[in-house]
Amino acid sequence: MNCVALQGIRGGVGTSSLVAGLALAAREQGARVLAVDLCQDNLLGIHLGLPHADARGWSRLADPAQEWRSALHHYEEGLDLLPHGAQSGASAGAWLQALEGYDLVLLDLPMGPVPEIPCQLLTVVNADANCHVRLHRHVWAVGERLLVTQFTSRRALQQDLLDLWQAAGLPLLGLRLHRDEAMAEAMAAKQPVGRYAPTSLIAHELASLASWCLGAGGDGPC
Amino acid sequence: MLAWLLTPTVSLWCSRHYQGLRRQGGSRLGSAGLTLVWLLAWALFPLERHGWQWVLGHAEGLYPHLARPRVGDPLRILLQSLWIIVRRPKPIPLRWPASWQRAWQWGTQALGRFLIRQEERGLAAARATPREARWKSVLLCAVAGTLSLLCITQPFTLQAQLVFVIMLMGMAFILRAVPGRYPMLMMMVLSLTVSCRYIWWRYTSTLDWFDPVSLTCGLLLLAAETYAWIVLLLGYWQTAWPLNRPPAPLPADSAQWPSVDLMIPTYNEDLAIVKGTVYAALALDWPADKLTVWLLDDGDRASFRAFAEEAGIRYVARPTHEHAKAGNINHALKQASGDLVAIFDCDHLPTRSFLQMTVGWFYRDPRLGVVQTPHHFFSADPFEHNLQRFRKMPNEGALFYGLVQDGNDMWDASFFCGSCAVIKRSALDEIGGIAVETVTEDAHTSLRLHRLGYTSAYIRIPLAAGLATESLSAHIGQRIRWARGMVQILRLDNPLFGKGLNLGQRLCYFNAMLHFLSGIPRLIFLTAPLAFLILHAYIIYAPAAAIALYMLPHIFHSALTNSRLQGKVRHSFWGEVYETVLAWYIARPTTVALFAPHKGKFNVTAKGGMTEEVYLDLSVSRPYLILILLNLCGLGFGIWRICTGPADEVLTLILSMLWTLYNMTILGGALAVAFESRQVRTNPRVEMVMPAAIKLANGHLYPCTLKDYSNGGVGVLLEDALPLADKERVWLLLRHGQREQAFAAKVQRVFGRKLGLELEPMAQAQHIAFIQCTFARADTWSLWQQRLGKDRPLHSLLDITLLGWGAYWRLARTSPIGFVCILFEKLARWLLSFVPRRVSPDFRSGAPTTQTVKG
Repeated sequence: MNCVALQGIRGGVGTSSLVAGLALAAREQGARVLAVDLCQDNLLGIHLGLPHADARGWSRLADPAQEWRSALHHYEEGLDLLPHGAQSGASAGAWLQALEGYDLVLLDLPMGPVPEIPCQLLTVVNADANCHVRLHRHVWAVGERLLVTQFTSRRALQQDLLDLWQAAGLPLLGLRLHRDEAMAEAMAAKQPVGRYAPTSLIAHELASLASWCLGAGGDGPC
Repeated sequence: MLAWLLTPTVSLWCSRHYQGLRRQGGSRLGSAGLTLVWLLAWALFPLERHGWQWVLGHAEGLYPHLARPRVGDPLRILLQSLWIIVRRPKPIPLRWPASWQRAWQWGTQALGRFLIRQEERGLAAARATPREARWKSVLLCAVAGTLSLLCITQPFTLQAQLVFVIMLMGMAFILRAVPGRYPMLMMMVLSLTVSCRYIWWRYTSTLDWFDPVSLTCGLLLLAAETYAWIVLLLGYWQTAWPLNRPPAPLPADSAQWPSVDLMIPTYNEDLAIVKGTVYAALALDWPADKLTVWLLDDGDRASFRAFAEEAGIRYVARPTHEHAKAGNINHALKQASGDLVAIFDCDHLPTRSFLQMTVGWFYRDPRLGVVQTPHHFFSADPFEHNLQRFRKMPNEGALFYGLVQDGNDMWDASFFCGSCAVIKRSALDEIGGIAVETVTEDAHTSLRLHRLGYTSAYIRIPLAAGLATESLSAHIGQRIRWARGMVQILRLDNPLFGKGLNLGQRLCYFNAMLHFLSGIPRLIFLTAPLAFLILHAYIIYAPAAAIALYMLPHIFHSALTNSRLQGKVRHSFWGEVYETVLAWYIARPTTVALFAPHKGKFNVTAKGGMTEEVYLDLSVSRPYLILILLNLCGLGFGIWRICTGPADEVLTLILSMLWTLYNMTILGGALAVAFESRQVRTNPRVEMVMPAAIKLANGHLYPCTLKDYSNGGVGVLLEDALPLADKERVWLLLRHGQREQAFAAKVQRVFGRKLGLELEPMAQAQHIAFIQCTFARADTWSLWQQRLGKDRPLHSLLDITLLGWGAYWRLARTSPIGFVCILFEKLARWLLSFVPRRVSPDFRSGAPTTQTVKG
């Protein structure tokens, strides 16, 4: 069972959209996927068709380790969502180890400490000056990789920052996700981007990322 | 009229049917005839029954050639119906029994494995004990030499020769199917045996010493055949064991890498072409402080100077212009001070990995003088262009760059070809710069380097690509220059004599020069049978059966062995066409150069022009037309002699006429090349498959595949059709390495998933980036030899035959008797329309079947 955690280096880089799109892409490659929303904002559900008024989530459970199945939202066959529940004070803890029965578990992490479970950590960044400064202050975890999103080749600053990060030896993932209007429109349509615009470039890139995730990361081509 | 024969209902139906046929485009006669047939059919057959209704319902599938009603349709219907009744829809294919095929497969694979084991054992033993191996090989050669001498000179009766020949042919067929290098060497031995026997027989028993005309013609033909035999021998020697040298790694620390001067000599070419090369050179993966790009302008043009300043490269123009390109480079070398010199023609764009792949060998071998890489062309040369065979079969240069140079490398004799190479500066200084005494300065330079003991290397990977010559006349001009130069070197600096070269190098250089002397022998071959047909001179003084038994195996074995040896880089019989095209033109310059090597001037190859319409280049094709006319005369004479001459000569006459027909086929092929066809693009299109993305103005991105590109536009294949308007602005996203670049473009044409984009004018930085993303990619030309079909000799021969005789038909159509040809064509088409067509077993699904007879 592969576990991949995505954490934005700051808010608004597009982590939740990514988790939703990645979950669908992995599903389309035949895996059974569970997307877990660990952010109190509870926005991952909007991407995966959860009605806004629906209040279930793991934060409302007394014993998440035993009862997590009761809070699941089934988006479709083989793709499940475990929403947060928007209850304050709940923290992701050892109960995450109890998740089982899936080929891929995707964690949507908020800013802050990373839970202590074995997972591949992907830090989501945009190639701008703000993230550059944050990266400078960033404390690196073992095996952490940087995933660049919202990439536009027409912005010289983005290319230059990426060259700089490359030269500095930061653990950049080779794949870059482009800034595609389809991603913005997908959330507005309350669908993951692979369902909303399957022919778009971002859907293809997420498919590559999904196959990398399913291969448990490592140094495979990505 | 029919009203008083038929009831009113029936005549109404008839007139309705007739009107329907007329509406479909049928003539009055045709529609009337068909209506009558229809009437008859309804009167005679129970067409309302289910079976007939089914046939009528599927009429379109069962009778695919009856789209438009025509006069002969009743006959066509009858013939097609008979055909469908008689023939199976899916014919049983003719195959050898499966057990035979399996046995053959097993046998040849087992033999191949055995021979590969022997080869490995032999190589290991040779490496382990070189002296012993050398003694063994000398002994083996001596024994083999005596045995073969016996074999070659032993005269056979005709029956014995027949048996011998059949045995050898059988062995050659079997060896042809066995994979590995040893079977190839064995085929070579067989071919050499047969060819040497043939030459011995020619020298000893086929000259008529009593008739002076026969003697002269016979001696001329014998000289030509001896030339061909020597070229065959040396060719086998040269290409028996291609080295396939891999690139060598550079030291890990880039501070130790040598400094390189990259020179781009130019004379009168367009700035647009040179810009591409300069940008690609600037994109090379090499430390910037160790690479200097030089633009050597022999035309003193201000635009070039301005461009060089803008691009930040060195510009050199010289006051005098002697010795053309060699002088140009030598002049610039006085100012250059790098360790290595890389030379590129102004239209050869290097890929980014050029230096990294080639310079490594200078570390591996301290005596290395020059590293050469192939000249790959991304545009079609005149043969491929005029015959529409671009990327369908290997082009003319593929034999040299794909096999011959590789074989030369085995003997340490691969030579410098003037471009796409790296030379050691100290070695160049030692020989006094690039050689200026001959017009082929490149081969002469590497000959001198070899004489001083330097070695050379050839890496078979295409690391640069350029423009092929535009028109046939430019191509011929280029070859004349090479031929003249090589023969000059033969006279002035003969590789067979003089010190410093080992035997392998001497033979390889000699063969390269000998190859260019093929003009006169080829002309002799093209006119030899005419000596017998017109002049009645016995050029081969032997009975027809003997000629057949000696000559045919010789041709057969050399064709088969060459097909095995060279099949991937040249298809069978095309070499004859290429040689024939050049024969007339290189005959005189090479003969002149052979006797007076200092005469003759340097003419530059024209590149990057544009031909407007289809025309027969008469100035170029005049010699072929003369030869064709002579051959036609010969055929006429032959027919006359068959009718009026002695009976025992008929067989010889028939053989001569067959030879003449073969010559005419080859000449037809040469003529076909002379029909220059349309070339409306100023920028040649390069075929390259690359992933890319397209960004629309509304911010959506879509993946696509780049199919072809040039300096003006790109062709793109989308994954799904997009609703794009004409002249809509999009961005094409291309990657090179880790950087991505967006190029503004306008949509030029949309056809389903295919998109044609016209790139907008780019600033210099953008242009550099475009070259980096496309032409300078490291793997751009790596597929240069894939997807080119396997060599099939008979298929090749058929192809050339159709091409050659098709060219004659084209010529006839444009000549004064053209209307007869057009009439013939119309008649042939009309007759062919009666031929029954194939009906596929699932015609019910409406899928069209491919038809061999069209129209």
